[in-house]
Amino acid sequence: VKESLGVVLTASSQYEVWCDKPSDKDLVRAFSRVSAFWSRISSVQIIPNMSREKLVANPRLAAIAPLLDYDRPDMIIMLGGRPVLVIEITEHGYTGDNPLQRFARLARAAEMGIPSIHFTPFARTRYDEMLYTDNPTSARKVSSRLFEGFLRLTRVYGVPVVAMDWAVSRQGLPIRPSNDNEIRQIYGEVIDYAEHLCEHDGEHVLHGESILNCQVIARAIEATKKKAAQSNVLESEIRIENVPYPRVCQLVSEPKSIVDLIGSDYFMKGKDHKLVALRAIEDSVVESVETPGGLLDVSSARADVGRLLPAQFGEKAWLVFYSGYEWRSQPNGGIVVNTEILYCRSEFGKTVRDRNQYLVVVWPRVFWNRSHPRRIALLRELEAFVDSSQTTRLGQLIVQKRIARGIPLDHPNYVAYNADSIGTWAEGGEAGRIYRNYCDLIILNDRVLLGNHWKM
Amino acid sequence: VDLPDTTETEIHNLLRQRLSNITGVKLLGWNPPNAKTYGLPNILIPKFREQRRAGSDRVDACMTYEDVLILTEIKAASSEMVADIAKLRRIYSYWDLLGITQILTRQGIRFSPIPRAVVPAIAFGTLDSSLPQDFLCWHVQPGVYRQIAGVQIPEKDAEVLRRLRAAFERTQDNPEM
Repeated sequence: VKESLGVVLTASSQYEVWCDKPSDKDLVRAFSRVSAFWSRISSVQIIPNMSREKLVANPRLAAIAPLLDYDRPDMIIMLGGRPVLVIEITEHGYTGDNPLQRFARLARAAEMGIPSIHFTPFARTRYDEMLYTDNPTSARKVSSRLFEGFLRLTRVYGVPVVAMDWAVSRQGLPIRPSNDNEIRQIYGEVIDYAEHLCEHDGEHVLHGESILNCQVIARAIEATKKKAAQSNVLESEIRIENVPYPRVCQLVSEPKSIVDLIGSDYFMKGKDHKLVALRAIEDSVVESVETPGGLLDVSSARADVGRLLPAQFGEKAWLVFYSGYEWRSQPNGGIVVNTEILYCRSEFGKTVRDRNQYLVVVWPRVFWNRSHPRRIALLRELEAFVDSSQTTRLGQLIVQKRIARGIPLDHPNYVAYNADSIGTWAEGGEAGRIYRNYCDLIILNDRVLLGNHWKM
Repeated sequence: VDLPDTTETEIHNLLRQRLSNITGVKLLGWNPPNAKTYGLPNILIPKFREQRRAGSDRVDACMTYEDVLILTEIKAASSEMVADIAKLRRIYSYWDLLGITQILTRQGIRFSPIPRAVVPAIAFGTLDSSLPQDFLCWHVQPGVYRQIAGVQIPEKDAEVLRRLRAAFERTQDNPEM
């Protein structure tokens, strides 16, 4: 028995693990069959689905509640009742935005001073390609922005956020274990790193002491650094940096001007869904603006938006990020946190107030007002187009695109319809919580929202 | 028998546990509700041959017994399975045995022996509707394991499934025995 931070620890009850899903719990049990450290974990539980208030009020769960503020990590290892390591395991690699889906969870862990591991195939084939052919399909590499983001979190918060590779099969799919030997082959790096961190550095984590100089940790950070150095991303067309504040004010007054900022060509290439977003932009009118002093109705007169918002907004340049996605939590949340930490945060800034440039997200497919007539009309238009390809403005845009790009007019479109296609903001939802915490401004189709840190 | 409500997740767990213990059953894929799996892969069947952006169907459980391939959908109650039955019928009407085995092979599944036939199946905890006659059905509750093979299943396949039934229902705590 030893005393640590006021908690009495015994060899058998020292470690416990909280898991997101039953399958995560099964994996912890599998680890315990091949590792002496994991076999000593006294309790493996699934995090109950309950409000933050209830989590905080529960003595066993209060310590993990802050880690769940944005999303639920796959595994949280506790030492003496306090978190020491967060583990994310995902087979969804691919390119582009997908790998960033879980970034917010790891950012939250880093903010709390908790190290984390992100275990994913660094390169894998896409199901939607390999299912259609017997020939090998090319492996898609995870966006290097993910690794860059981990390194930035490590530097800013002084806790290791490391990436580990999930090996893939000949088909390029993540290898799954069929026996205990394979568990160690596949997950060995995670199993051993977790053991080292908990046994060797766990107490330091609990005391808030840096563990970055530990050799094992430093090696894992170095490996993540090598991945980050292999840049594999194109410059984003929807992330515009160093935008002067008056131009941001113009976006609030005239949301349609986002098309000029991005360039109309962006909408006329790639997925047809971009044109659903363009339709929402065409109809967008901001009718109310949240200000530090409260909500202001700007529907009747075009107010001087710059004067309504915090005076500090004019002191720095802005990063404008456009989201053409429908209302859903991911990958939106992960992308925004990754963008904020990589492009907006000052060198060692630990909070969202420590900015090199402010962050505004333009999200035209989301309304504040669920019953807004413009939202209902956009949804009806989309439904009519999907159901019967009736003549609609959206249909006209798709025809224009086909003609402009020399695509046959009868080429199938993959536009789908559901109520979230033109969605509504949910304050308590995952995306709502993340956006409010990391953005300075959020321009929805009908309202401008202010980041939490600007509210009085 | 007045049976307690059993959730979809529990049906998944009960069925998987039972099938895992039957000699000759090879589990190839499993897709538990709202959860990922680390062991068996999720099995995907494309909706169309060429239109990859049209998406794929996920099949809850996929297995072989002897030389029969069984694709299974799972819900808490049989009355909730209209869409699942339609999904499996759509798969069967679009893909033949060769097509399905080819798609599974592309996902890393290895067959031994190569399946001779494919049978659609449903599993549920509460039997509260009529059952499709061309499907294999599993009624699963804690302590209750019943297998019902529809009369429209070809005799050669039904013969294999009768052997599976014997193994599936062979348990001491099964009140149906």
